[in-house]
Amino acid sequence: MTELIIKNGFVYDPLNRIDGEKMDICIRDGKIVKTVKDSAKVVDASGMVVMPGGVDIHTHIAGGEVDSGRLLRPEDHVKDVEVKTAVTRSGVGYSIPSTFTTGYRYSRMGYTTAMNPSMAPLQARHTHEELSDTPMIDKASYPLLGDWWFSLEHIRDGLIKENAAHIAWMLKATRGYAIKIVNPGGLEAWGFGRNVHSIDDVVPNFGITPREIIRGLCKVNTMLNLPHTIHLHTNNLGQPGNYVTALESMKCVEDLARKDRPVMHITHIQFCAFKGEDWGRLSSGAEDIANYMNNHSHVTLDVGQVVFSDTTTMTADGPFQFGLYHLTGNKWVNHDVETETSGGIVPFRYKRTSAVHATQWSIALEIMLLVKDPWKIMMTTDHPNGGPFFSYPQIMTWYISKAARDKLFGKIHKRARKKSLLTSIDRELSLYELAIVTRAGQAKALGLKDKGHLGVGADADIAVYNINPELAAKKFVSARRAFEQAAYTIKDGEIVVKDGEVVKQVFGRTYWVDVETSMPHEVNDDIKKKFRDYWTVEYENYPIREGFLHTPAPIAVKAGV
Amino acid sequence: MYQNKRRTIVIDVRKTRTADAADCFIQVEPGKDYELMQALRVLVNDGELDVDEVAGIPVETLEDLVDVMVSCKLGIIFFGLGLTMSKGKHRNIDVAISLTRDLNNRTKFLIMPMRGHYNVTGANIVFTWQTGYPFAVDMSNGYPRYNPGETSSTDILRRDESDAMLVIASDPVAHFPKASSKNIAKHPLISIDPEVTPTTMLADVILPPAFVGIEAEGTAYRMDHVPLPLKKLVEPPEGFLSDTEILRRILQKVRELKKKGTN
Repeated sequence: MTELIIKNGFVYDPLNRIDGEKMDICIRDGKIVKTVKDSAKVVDASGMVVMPGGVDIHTHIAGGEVDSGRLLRPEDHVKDVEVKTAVTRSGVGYSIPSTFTTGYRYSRMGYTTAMNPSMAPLQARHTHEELSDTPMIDKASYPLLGDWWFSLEHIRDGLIKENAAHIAWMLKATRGYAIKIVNPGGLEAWGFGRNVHSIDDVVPNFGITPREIIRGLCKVNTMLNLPHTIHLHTNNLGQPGNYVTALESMKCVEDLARKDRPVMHITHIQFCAFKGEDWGRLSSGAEDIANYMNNHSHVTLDVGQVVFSDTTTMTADGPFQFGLYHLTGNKWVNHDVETETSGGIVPFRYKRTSAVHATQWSIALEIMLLVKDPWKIMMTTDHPNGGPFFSYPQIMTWYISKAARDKLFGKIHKRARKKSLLTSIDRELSLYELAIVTRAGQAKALGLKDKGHLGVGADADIAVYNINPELAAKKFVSARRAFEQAAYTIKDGEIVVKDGEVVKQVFGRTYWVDVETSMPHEVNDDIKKKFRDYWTVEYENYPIREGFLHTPAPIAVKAGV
Repeated sequence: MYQNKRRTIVIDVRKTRTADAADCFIQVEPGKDYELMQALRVLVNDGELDVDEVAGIPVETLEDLVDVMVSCKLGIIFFGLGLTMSKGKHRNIDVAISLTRDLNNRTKFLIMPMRGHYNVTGANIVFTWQTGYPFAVDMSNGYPRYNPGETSSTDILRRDESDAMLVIASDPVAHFPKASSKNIAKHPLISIDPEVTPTTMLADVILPPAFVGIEAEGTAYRMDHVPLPLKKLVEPPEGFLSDTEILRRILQKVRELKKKGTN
């Protein structure tokens, strides 16, 4: 029985409405408890900030596509190496770090959970092998189901219950956590080099529309009682004028909303908040998106902040990546996975001196600051698409300090500066709000009940930052350093990082959703035949076997069908 | 349902059995792959060739070939050792990739290397997620370094820089250049391999493991990066361990020795 007490810190625990109160946190056997014995090990957090461990709802850290990105970019690794220590293994960065490095770098920032949002079902095994090699954090993966043939057929034929039972089977087969939808219908079209351009375009071969796919899977999600909502990467991502598509996607599930519970998460909203007819006239759609968000509660967002750095873009959105390749002339990998999904990888450098990139940087900040309710919006970079995840500390200072924003604002492209709404926004997030957008809100949106808070019974995943709460906004440079190098990171009740150094290597769990349906998933000869005709792995060998994951943590869910 | 409409074209220096099975065979002069592909790029980009033939192939044939390529719905180029190991080497691959990119402006086209040995893709993939690089990874500095030509095993052997060698499921003695394999014999050699090979014949220690997919469970990656689960069908002969178990025990021993060394 190991006991720990974190003493005298300023605690920010928004899910329990604790706002900077000086208090002690007690830990026993990896969980937060009311009291511990006097013999408990003491962590002195006097003058420091104590928060739940960081939670990342969307970060590409593992799987076929990420690994192809690593393969594509030796020049990215050579400039940023991670030397082995007595407790850690060596590896490389920069924008697509090796798995061990990924775990250590998250942990050093006080993060304890990260969700891998893009998994081709056929490559679920590969993804889970990588996640098992990613230490320090708990994780999960979302299978790409927005262009999954069986699901599209069910939607076409109006078989919603059958669709739900099938998706439940798929989540189990891939050990997945949530329904990920990327450019619905567009990936199917990309199989033959085409795309769809609005949520009402017809998807080739199926005769349905992206709207029907989004709505169909949204209903399935509700029926299955999944902990997270559908996780949507919209159509027309990265195209000027696409804020309209984002708004239409939000509107198309308005009538499916359930009281105050969200039914849709739109990811990296910055990439779909572009106004203007072309790149030359690009401006911000942040106000329109924020207005909608401030008047509706059925959607949550993560921002996909752009950071000025050299990075690697990678999405399952094959046609978008192809466009990006044409735009940049950079090297490009197309990564189709049989009938299931597409994908693309293009190295990319966001420059302050580019009007477009600077506008993207501004849009992301505007949305974060204009959406009034922090529970509706989360900090991400869509790692590595907007920038590497270890830019988070810098982004946090932009949120909490106008001075930090202004400092960079003065250096960006003149046209972007002129169009930016940032000059009219004085809002600075409090540390309480920062804890929401970086952990509490993310855990809530994910339905991870034991994460993102410090109440009794929660997982003892905790970050301690050496920050004086009153001076954080003013002394943003030292705040940034403190966020980069947590004074302590505690994972499942053990000190794993001290003063920014990994002192113990642990391996987190891999969550997946084990849905129990009363209606059995029908395995008919037709399904088996389709697997035989159109897949290269047979139905019987498709699901991941028991025992394949190193540390599986199934979450049992009882479905409404 | 699509099979009848599919077409296979083989380009090679000689007529192989694969060529016999294909719809069309085009014979290229040895060492002229680079020229051939550059010529194809010109044609794909609507250019004209001022010569009668390229790499021993009439320009009309190339024009027909390009017509087939740009008018298909989805095409794929497979390439093998003939391209990677002949004159031009990585530049041949470079131009093959460029050709694929050009084709994508006209239709959808993919490119994929044909891998030789069983699960060589798996080795590349695991190396890549753990170190960032697919092969030739040098860890002696305490972090991964990758510089093929310097850190690749064949070059380390050729320069005779190593003084011991552990070979797992591979047969370098048979496949490496003579200058490299000559030096393998000079130093202690340990081989983990279930088969008798020229490498095991030279080895000082042989550890025969159980066969994965027959006597042990495992995962192998197909050349298109799809991992396949492999089942265990029968018990291995007594005393035979899986590769994983052999390596685990070696690692354990190494750690014990290191601990002793530091005390």
